[in-house]
Amino acid sequence: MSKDHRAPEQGAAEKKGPRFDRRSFLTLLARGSVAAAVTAVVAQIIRFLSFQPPGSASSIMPLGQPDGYPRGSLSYLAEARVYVGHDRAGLYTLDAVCPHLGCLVKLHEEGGFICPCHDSLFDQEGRALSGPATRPLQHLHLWFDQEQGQLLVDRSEQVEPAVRLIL
Amino acid sequence: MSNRRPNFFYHLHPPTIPTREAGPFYTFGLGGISLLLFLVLGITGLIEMFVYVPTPDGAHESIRNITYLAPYGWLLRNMHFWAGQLMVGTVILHMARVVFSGGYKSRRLNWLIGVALLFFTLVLNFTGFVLRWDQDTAWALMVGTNLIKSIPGIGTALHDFLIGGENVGAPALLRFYTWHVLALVLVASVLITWHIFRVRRDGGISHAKSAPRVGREQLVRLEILAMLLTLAALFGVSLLVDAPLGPPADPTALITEPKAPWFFLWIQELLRVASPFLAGILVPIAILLVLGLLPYALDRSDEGIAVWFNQQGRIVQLVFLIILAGAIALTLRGAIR
Repeated sequence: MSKDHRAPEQGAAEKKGPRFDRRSFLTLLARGSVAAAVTAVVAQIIRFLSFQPPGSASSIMPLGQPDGYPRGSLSYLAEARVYVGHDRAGLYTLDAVCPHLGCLVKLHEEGGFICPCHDSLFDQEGRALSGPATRPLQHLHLWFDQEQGQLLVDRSEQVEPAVRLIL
Repeated sequence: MSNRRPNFFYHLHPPTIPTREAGPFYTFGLGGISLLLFLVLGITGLIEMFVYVPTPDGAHESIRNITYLAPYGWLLRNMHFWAGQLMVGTVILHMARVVFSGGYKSRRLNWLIGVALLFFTLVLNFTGFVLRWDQDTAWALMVGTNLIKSIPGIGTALHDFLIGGENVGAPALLRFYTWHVLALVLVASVLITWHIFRVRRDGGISHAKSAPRVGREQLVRLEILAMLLTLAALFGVSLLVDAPLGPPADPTALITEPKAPWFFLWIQELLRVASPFLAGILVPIAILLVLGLLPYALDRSDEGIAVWFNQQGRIVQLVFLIILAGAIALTLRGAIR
């Protein structure tokens, strides 16, 4: 064991004892403790920053009176971020949020919708025609609330494209 | 000068400098100019922090106060804006100088730190852009955060960690503010210090072996001259051209043509044709990786240090040029749209 007491620059080259001696064990232990402590703290920082405060806004938005949407109309409701249309079958709501990266789609001159951010095109029914968007614009659940006496839309509830509200 | 101890600024330099490389037309002072702009950004940004309100209701109004009401606030904001824009340019030109003069050779670690600093320059610029909180920045924020969400598997978790709650709201603005004014700045400051320390440790400005040397006085004089010219240019452009400020962000309003900030226009162009994850995440990461690996994979030679367009580094120069030309072409395409 006397070899352990040699000056380090001598010992490194001609060491003969066990490779994993007491010194390297203690060094490993010290470094390992530091690494474990840092990892634990960093993990908790990540958890802290990922924390989401409770109580998000309601997804149900008012759309006003049904007579605001005569047959053949298609209007944008800013607060709800939806298009409300009225075709031969009835009323429907299309989410104005582009399924690509979240910009709001505009009415296209040639019919349908266009996203101003990356030029995705959608038809009247919200189907993706061209551009980077691969999914259609969502049809959202629309109903007439008797108590409030107005139309409501639930932004978090999707419905089939063919669904219409008939009053 | 002769019998006085050199002051701190002199002390930051080696006593002697290779003659040719210390002249104005080797480095063009681009690294130093970038550092100066970073310091200007720190000082002007610190002053802005005393007035800026990082909330959706207060942000735009406080910037209007800075720009239109506070004495010399317009100049302060213009200088902060233009220093940020100029820094993107000087950092990229600095990188180009290092590539074309073989400055990365046998100092690969510092090249990697430099690539990281390019990333930090762009991200600091983007987070600052978002703080303006006008119509353009609201959509850039929306697109940027949705890009993070598009990463398979970890996207949502990463989004919650980096940006916090809903897309365009108070938590996101506060997060961008804290990243911009402190967290990213701290990391960038450490990297910049390390970057400059590595230059000293690697023997000063890259130079040919056994090059003739002069005292550091010549370099220090040039640095002061470059500093004055840079400050004059920054001051001039800030007097003449106002930093943009659109109408306040409204996440429900339809707008005609949302544009990414100019240094990310190339990504916006890619997003028109490829999937979000590919165009917005994988391609930028791949470019950073390729840049970082250039001196490891394509030119490990020690020959051609400080030789413009040296033979050994031809492939590295070519790959860099292709990436740069591609990014510039896409940026121009986005700009003239």
